[in-house]
Amino acid sequence: MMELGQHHVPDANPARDEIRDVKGGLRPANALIASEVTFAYGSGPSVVKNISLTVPPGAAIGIVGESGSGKTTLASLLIGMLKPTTGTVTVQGRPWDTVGRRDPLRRAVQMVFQNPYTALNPRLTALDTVAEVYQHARGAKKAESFERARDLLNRVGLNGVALDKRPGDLSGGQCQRVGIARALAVEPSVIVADEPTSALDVSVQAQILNLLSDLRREQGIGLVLISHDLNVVSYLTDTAIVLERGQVVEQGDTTTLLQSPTHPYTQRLIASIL
Amino acid sequence: MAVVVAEVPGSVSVRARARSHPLELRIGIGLISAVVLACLLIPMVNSTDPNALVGLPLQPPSAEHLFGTDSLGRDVFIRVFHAGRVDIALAALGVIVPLVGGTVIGTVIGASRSRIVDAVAMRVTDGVIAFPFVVLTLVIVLVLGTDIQIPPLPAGSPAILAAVWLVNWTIYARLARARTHVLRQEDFIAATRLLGFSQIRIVARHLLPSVWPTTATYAVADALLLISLIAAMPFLGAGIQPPTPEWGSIMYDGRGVLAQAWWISLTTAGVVLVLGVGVMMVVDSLVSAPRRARLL
Amino acid sequence: MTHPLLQASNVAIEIDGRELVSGINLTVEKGQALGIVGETGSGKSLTCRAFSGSLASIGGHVSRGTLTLAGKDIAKPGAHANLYGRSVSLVPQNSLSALNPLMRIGSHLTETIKALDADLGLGPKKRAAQLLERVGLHDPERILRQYPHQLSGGMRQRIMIALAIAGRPELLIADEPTTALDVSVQKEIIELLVRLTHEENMAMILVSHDLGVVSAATHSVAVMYSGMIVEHGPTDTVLQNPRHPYTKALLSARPVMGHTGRLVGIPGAPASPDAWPKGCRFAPRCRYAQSACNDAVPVPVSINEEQLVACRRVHELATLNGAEVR
Repeated sequence: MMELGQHHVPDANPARDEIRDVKGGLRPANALIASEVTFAYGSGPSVVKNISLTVPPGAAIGIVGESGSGKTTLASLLIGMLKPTTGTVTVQGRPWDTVGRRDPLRRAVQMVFQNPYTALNPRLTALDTVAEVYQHARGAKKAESFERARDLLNRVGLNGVALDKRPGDLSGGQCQRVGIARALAVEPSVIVADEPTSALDVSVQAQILNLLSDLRREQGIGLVLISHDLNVVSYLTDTAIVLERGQVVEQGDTTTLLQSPTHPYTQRLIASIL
Repeated sequence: MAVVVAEVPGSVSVRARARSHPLELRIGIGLISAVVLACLLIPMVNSTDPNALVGLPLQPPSAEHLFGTDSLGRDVFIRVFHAGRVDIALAALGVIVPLVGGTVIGTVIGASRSRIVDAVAMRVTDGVIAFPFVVLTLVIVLVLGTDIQIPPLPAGSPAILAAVWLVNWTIYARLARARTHVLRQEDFIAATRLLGFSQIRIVARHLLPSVWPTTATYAVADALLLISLIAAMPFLGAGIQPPTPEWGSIMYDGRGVLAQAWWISLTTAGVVLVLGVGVMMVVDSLVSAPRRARLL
Repeated sequence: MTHPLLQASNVAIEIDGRELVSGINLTVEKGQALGIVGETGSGKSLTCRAFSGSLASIGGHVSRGTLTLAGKDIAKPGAHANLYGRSVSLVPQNSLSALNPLMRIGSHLTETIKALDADLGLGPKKRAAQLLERVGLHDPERILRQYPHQLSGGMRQRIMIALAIAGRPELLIADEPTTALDVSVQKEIIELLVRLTHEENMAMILVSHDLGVVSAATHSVAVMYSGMIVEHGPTDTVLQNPRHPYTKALLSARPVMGHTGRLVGIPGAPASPDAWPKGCRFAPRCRYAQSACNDAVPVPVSINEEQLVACRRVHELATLNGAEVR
């Protein structure tokens, strides 16, 4: 089986470990790597079995699976919220358990959540939510934080009075934009999006998918998209892996995978699309 | 798929619940305000000394003495509302300190990922809660004695406050910890961790604001329980010392002459009842789930 | 032409004095499936509730128009008293909250069967097992003894369907029956519903936001927006040749495997009922809107006697489209 991103990985030569991203800044060759990761809750059965995944800078990778496939657990492992039972997840060369709570590297991987409402503090306005990030994670002064937050929110499509509203008074699509802005405020290398549009109406989904696609193109941010919706995965990602019961059953270029799947599970998934 | 905003009690904001029972909330607040205002204003307007002998003992309610007179000839009406000041002030003080202290401690413990901190805290609170609350408070009151006086508080009250503070914070800490454990699972808390916020910021800005409604709602009911506790103490020889009027001691005195002078105990009980019903209505409207389901 | 089973003429629904759904004209015949498509705020769930008789519990009522089921007037409150389960029943969206977690599946079924007096002479337990087989659950004896949380989402949904058909209703309403289910299970549930409506000669109304589901399972479809039907016609016609700007936009907004090219979202968001404009409710977001669109709510226009479109520019736009890039 082809290892994802294999053609991007140079041999482990420090001189070649940095490549230029779209803006000309330097980033380590492999932003996020999972190596033979296995995870089980307590003494229970493994939910994620021996998964390896490489997210090179600027890549867009899809993780496809149904419920029970382990995709959400894999997402939590990738963002460093769960510690693998065996194997490691490294970000820019360092394993997550060496990255402290206040370490700047902690911010390199951010998440966009499925439920746009519970992803936000219900008591903070959109502006407050994003300004707080500038003030407390980026160390900016208060006035500057609010200014930059306003700019960023405008850029993700939230304007005017909506900025001063709390999640309860915003639509699902608007909340999701706030969540995306919050993630962008720390200038991450990778965004892990766990079913970012499955709770949204179709017309709103299109707006958010376009936003994610644009951000990727403009800022070279890597994207790991977890979705059960093959149409969404096909729109946003270049490569994809298919999970069944915690294991990778197929992986490769998204278009090829969906047009000519080789594994029976993938074939079944595609055949089920109405 | 359209988002279904789950109408499960607990996931609905207190404000939303209050909005759906406006009449109950308003009546409750009205009743509480009526009693509190009466306790504030009546003694200001009517300068009769609550301990003065203003008439013949055991007189039934009349135009001059609205609640009659007690066994010493003191005006019961004036005594009841002076007593209200004492009881309500003590209940408020007795609740606020444990509320604030307990909530903060409980939230910090709930947010901590250290198993040791959690275990120690739990054993401490378990130990306190394991004792029957009333017995523990009484023991502390009796040990500290009724002599300690800190003006302007009446004699006997510092002991009660100390006892209540020592014991009651644990309940709030428990509530806050439980609520924090639930909140910790929320995506927005995970986001604060991803963003690298400090623990202090997460507790103060993201957890506490959502924990207060739970503990504050309990505090309102707790205040009522506290009034009952303070009122019960004279029956056991502890608590606020005479001649300071206090609801419990007025009712206790009235017990002895219940057959001849029912008005002493019953008018006092009536005022306490109005306050109690008001509190219950407020708590009820803040706790019950909204009546209507949200439409898609 | 057979007499339609369900007939709605100019039905409007009010809650707390606000008219949230207007001008519903729909008919459903036995053996036919009607799809109702709409996003949040479209009024599709309220419309379902009017048909299944559950408006009263949310404080709503049918304020105008006529609504009949098998000839009986079901617009007035209380009309559904003896009809629910026997003439019409509902498969709700969320099976987990619709089932009592403390009651075994068997009890759910036998309770319903007894209430509807629908054991068909077999006795409630046997009829319950029969129903489970009918919805494709084998090993019914074991399932009858289990509790809801012990079953998968797909199995629970099949049980909701079993409960709904226990009384052999003439009309089955399925409100987003496959939301929250895995893709492969979705297909099975939809196929089950189609099979049942065919075998039992029931009429079905299928409410969904998912156009794929609607295209696989329905004969005709009504597209709703802000409380009104904006387009109505045979499913294949509407989905392949949509005439209303909203329907067109909705179809362009979905990502489809194999199609590259940017998705076109619909700018803005639906207005809340308090802010509904006097004229066409979609006009504020419509790329073809003109000032005249704001004067009055568009009257549905008939195309080829089978498609109804509530857009005053529908004929104009048909000729324009030839030159437009989709």
